Amino acid sequence: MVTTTQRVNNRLAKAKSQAQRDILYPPSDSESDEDEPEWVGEPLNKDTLIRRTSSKNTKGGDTPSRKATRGSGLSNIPYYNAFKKGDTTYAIGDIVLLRNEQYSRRFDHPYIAQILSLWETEDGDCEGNFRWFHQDEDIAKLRRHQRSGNFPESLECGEIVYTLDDDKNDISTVIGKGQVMNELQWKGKFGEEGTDLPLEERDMAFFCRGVVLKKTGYRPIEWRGNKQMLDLKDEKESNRVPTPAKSSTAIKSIREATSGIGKQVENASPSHRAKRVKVEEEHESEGSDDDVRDQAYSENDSDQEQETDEEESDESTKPAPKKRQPRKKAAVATPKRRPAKTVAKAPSRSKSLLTKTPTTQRSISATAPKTDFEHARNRLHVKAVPDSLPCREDEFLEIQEHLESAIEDGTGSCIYISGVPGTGKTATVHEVIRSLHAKAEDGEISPFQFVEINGMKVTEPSYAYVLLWMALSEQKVTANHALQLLEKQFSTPGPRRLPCVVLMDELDLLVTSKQTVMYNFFEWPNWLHSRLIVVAVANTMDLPERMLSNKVSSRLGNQINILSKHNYMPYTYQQLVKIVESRLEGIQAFRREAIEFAARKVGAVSGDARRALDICRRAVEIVESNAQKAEDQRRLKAERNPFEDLGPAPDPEQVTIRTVDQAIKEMFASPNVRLIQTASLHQKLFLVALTSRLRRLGLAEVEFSEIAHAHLQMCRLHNIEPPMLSDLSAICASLGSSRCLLVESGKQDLHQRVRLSVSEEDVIMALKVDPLFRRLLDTLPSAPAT
Amino acid sequence: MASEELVSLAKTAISARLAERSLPVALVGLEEQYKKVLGLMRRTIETGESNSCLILGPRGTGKTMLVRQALQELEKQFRISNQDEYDDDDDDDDAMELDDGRKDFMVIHLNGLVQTDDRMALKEIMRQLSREGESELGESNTSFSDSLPSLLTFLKAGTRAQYPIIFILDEFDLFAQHTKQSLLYNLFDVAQSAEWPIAVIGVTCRMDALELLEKRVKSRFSHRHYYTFPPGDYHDYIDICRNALLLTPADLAIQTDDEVMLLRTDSRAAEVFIKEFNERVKILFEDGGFSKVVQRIFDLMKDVRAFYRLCFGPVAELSKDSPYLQASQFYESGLQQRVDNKTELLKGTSLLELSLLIAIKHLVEREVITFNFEMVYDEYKDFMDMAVVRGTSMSSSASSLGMSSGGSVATSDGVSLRLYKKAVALKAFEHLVEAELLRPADSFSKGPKEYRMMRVMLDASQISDVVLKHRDCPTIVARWAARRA
Repeated sequence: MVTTTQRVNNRLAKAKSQAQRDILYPPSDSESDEDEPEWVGEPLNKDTLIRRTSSKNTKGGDTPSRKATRGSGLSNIPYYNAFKKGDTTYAIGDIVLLRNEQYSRRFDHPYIAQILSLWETEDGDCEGNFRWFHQDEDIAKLRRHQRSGNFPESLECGEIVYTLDDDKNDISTVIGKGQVMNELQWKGKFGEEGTDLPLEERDMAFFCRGVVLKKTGYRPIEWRGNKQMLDLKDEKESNRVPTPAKSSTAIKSIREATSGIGKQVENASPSHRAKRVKVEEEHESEGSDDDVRDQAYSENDSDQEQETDEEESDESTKPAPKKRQPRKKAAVATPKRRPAKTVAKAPSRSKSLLTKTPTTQRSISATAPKTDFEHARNRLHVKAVPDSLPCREDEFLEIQEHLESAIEDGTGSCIYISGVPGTGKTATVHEVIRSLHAKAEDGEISPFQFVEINGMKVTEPSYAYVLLWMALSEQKVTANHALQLLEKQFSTPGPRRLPCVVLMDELDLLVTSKQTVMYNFFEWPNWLHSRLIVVAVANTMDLPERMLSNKVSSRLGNQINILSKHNYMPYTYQQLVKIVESRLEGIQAFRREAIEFAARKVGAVSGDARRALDICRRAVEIVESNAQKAEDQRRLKAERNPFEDLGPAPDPEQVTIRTVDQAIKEMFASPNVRLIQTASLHQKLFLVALTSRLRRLGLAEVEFSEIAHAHLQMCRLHNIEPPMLSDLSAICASLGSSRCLLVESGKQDLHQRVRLSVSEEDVIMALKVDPLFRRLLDTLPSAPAT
Repeated sequence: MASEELVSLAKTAISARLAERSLPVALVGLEEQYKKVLGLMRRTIETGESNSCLILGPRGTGKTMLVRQALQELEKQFRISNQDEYDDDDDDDDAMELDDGRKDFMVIHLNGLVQTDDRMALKEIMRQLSREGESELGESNTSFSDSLPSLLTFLKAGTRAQYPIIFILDEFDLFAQHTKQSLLYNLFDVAQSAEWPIAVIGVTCRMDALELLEKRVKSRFSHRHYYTFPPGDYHDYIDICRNALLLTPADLAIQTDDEVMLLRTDSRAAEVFIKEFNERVKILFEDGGFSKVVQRIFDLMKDVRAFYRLCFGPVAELSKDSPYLQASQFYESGLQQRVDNKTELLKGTSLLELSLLIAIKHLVEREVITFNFEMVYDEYKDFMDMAVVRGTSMSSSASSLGMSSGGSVATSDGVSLRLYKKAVALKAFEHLVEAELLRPADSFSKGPKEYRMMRVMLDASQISDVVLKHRDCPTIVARWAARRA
């Protein structure tokens, strides 16, 4: 659970980074000499404005936070009713066009929004809360992510869809006033066919006949005018970006007035309520948290209502004032609606190759397994994702909760997960994503995107940008360009942002010399408009400390503590038993003690679940082949003397400790002794010669020529035909290639240094069996005292 | 008597086996491993169960042969059963006919010596995939950074219905030395997740190959390894060798259509020939001298290939007149294999070079490990001075040819021995360096070449050998060589 303090910290960090952003990337408006916005009229809450004291809000409550709402109720932020920019006055409730930074021209694909509130920040920036309209692309995107949303196939030309998505935004991005009418007005004005005139030539007009509710999706509505629409509420509208706080007196009066409505809304959707209860039951452990959050929701709701009521006290809608004409005629190429086309276009194969990484599917066997063994083998394969992840329940819940709240909040966040290989890090994240996807499809949480970037699967770290940008925009660009685009997108507001969960697997491989990639990916979530949630996975526990060394750590400053860390300890043997057993439910192929044996063996060494599963799978294979052999023999016997009674068929074999032991030996036994035993006579002699020289000299390595002399001497002593020197160097090379010896490069020839790569005990143990070599070994100089 | 065609057929069949172009008739001592590898691949093909394994063993113990044999077997099985497989699916008939004659699986061969980095390996995978009919991949992606993700998504998109890919990674240890090991990571990762069914089979002679893997790569590897060891006892080794030489009926039949016809008309003769040939081979292996040759190879390295090398000559000599292998042929090639390479190299060397080598030998025997030309020349000159002194005394007594003024001396063998000038000797010295019989002691020695420090790559015994084998080495020189310091 993200605590409130964390959240506040988060905001602070965001505001900070935003400020940095603004310095680093000044609004790149080359075309227009943007007029500075200025406030119209006195602050609304002039009376309640208090002078800021250093004691309040440690680092300044410059951004409205929930804390401020909950706290004293006194706000020190001046709210306004309207502002003036250029010749135009914009008031609360007005429809405005916001500049789309992705396009270079001013009126190219602007965002459309309604002003909810306006205020001035501590730094003197003018900010507002805006409510977005969805356009064609947004709907298309939503439809892909939320299947149950009843979204229309496509929007008509000029049609936009109202939302209840609010977003905080800098006022400087406002470029003009728009107007929204209902279907009747629209058709009355432009005819049944509508119009595809450029924006400027139709007075920035749109029509609206639907609304997207966050959880339930699309619903048709009647556009009743800007002010009236502000009343519209989502029945399940939950913790949005918190709205600015109001004076306590206002809150009180309005809460009384609206509490009835809130109740009604809640009653109206009992099904959702029920769902929520169910969810709560599932996560009993966090039940209390949920309650708290529910309270928070209702509080929030009333906040919004009071605010909208208040805004309504303002003047009535004015017709949109005349807009400044774009200077160039080329601006005719303003957004042309291309209905259906963008929507109907299914992502082509080549594109879909790269866009989104699907979470791994549950394995579905092509042919149903027939025997218990086959079944067990299937289930024990590492790929088979179990129905649940045993022994990682806590981590699962924790991550899920973290991600869920981040998605719901529309804020960014970072999670760092570490642990040795095979402890279920990636599996847990995938499982969480899968469950969140399911929730999103059911409309329980807002839809989100998921991108997986694996350090091993990209050829160079900067390719991560390409992948991320590809997931966000379905365009493929070069790494540098992608970085620019991402920075731009994350630093500018935009309505069409689904929260994006990025899984960065094998994080340590994304480290570059300047650590830019990692720095960026941890920095972006803290930007105001990114909605990026980064889940970093690596097997080094102290990576953040190492990674955030010197300069990066100093730049990240207080953000390190946001990086919540999860350490995955290696599985203990009990957990391994559980994991294997959970996969073998209903399968009789295993004895319980066999599982335990395997688990203990693995648990003692690495705690790698993959190992445990592989051992068990191999054990099943062994039993299976044994059973097959026995069966064959039986049949053979039966064929030979068909009249003999063979007795009943033997019981089906089971995996016992012995088979597991056999499997483990197969997998982990060192081949060295076997290797030496099967070596040829002269290879063995060479090893003995080497050992004797090593012992005599007390060094770790010997020159080849010395060994050769010792070897030839031994041959003469024991009446063995001595090999040629070139044979000996071939022998040396062959032993070197199988890494019995470590040999210097062959260029040194006679003078190459040789050392043993296997332990001396292995050599002695392997050769003791042979009487000849026992004699030789007896004559070895005794091992040096050290 | 055997016809010419039969002999030449036998020749090609056997030499194909010796050159490892065709596979041996039977596996000796590797049955267990073969069964396991085959079973692993078959499970991948039949049930789509991805897997990975390593085959480890010293060189020449049949690792690659094992894999090839298994692949051949699978090819046989799954080409025929192709249709049954597809009957289960509701594929339409067209697809069936298209797939006819194709394998039910793909094999991708990679070799660590050829694909020296991941980029090349990836390119090669793409190429082989596109050759196998997955054309959509091959052409479009050219850059490395693009092709990796596209290959991965390609593999990820697969289900169990896809036909499996078997990756054979020869010289596996070299793949493990690529930076990041991302190829291995990705292959193993695909193999252990529910994606395209693949089998990854690594073949290496490094017994410690597993230790080379990074821990996350290692964790993804299934830890199945199969070891191939050289044949344990002499009889197994003999079996393998004999199998390579024995003829089978198939050897004379698997040729083009014409030959099969020929065989049919002349099958009696072929049978007789095979029987006689194999009889002779058996006799060959009972021959004492031949056994000695084979036993030597066995003692040295247990390398089957060394035996194969031995056989090339005799097999190539098979002809109509001598259609059977004879032991005497092997004595000679056995002897050829027993020579020391360096001694052989110096067989026809000049007397001056030989003298220099002897001088070096004396230096080394005096524990002077590194030396330069000047030192060698001094040693050589000392000897020559002595020889001249002795020569004059000899010549005065024998009053033979007399001695020339240039310090040359006629030896009793009739070969004139003379002290060469420094410049000439230096040339000879450099010739030895070029043959890499002498190597600079340190790589960065500057200064005039006469003073550059050198080491000798010959053993003292080898130098003595050379002197002994040298055709017209004067006795005085030979005596000098034999003298101990």
